[in-house]
Amino acid sequence: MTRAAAVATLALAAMTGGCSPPASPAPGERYPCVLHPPSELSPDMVVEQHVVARFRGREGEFDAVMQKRGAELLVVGLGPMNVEAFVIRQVGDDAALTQRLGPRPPFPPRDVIVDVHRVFFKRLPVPAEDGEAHGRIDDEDVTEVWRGAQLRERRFARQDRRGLVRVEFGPGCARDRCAPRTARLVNEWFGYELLLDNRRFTWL
Amino acid sequence: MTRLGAALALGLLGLAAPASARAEGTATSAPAPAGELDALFARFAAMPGLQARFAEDKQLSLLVTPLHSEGTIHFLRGRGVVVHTTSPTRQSTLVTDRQLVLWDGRTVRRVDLDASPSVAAFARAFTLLLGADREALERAFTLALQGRADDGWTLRLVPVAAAARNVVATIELEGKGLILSTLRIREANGDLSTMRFTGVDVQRRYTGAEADRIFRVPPP
Repeated sequence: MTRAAAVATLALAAMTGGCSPPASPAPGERYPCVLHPPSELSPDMVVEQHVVARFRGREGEFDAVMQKRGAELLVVGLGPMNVEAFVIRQVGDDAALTQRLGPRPPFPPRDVIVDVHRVFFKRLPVPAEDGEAHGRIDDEDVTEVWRGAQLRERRFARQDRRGLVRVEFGPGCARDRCAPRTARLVNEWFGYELLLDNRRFTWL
Repeated sequence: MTRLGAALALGLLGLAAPASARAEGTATSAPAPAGELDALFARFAAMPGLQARFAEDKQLSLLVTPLHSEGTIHFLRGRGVVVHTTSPTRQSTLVTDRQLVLWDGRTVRRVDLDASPSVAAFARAFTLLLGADREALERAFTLALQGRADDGWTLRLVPVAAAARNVVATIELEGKGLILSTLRIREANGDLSTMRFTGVDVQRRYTGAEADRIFRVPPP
């Protein structure tokens, strides 16, 4: 790291109140989920969002951009001034972190990508009517709740886990295009919560 | 904090670098035309205060769409610079001689500049630019002016220290007379920020009550 970059890092770390290493929601335990390569996911899009993560009484937040394009899925964490703080890149079934400045992502890179998949890409076929839809995605039981022609909740259950991973969607996830203004992911398996304020969707 | 603050702060890291580091820089730009630069800085020096709206598009090299933000910027001698971002979310940054105050819409963070020499460069940066401290500015940047101070002009700043250029490649400021129009910041990693100013008032005189309200973070 150059001297200037080092000083910039320190300056920005000071501005953001410092940064701490990502906390694993399950030390030594892999977050179960089949990660499909981005090339198999649709649609291609960019989502600008504000993320709040709550875990064991602690809370952290940051701005981020999720970009899914072709065979690549990116989560770019932003520091003050929209400076690129970190990048999590999924290509194939591998997720890697590049850290440039604080703040750091709240969880290991693969776990962040897993939650992106659960919120935006792991979905059942769109039902014709409101109500609960049930299905199986990979090795998980999935329930979706539709009200007013909008998806309002998605739940993931596993036979080897107690509890659920639950995603509550704010308005905007319609049958033809899912752009929820907000999403709240509650992970009962590992006891954390993510709040997503999706400020802007761009379809590619 | 806007890209203006970021770039100037990062660029002015050269001010904090030791002389040996500054000596690494190689001035590639032609010397600024002294008369026109003098005239431009004289205009800035006579400016009582500044208020403008800004719209910023930041193109990260990794992303296909730019990040857009909007807000207002204010400058008053003795009070410093405050940037109020109003879209997509409310954020504010105040830079004074002593403190850097950041508000992200929820939390206020204060950085004591006396205790944080690296961050203090932020305060110096704003002071140098809007306070028209050309001598100090030229210690950190190679300045190249195109055009005329009383007409359309472009001021290009290249960090003197090679280490600083690893962070910020160039800063270009465009204006006409005293009216700033565009600020472009090219980072060494390829990211490009373009900030356009409108409603620029370079004769802004703040009353005491206005200054108390505007130069407060978080805003009332």
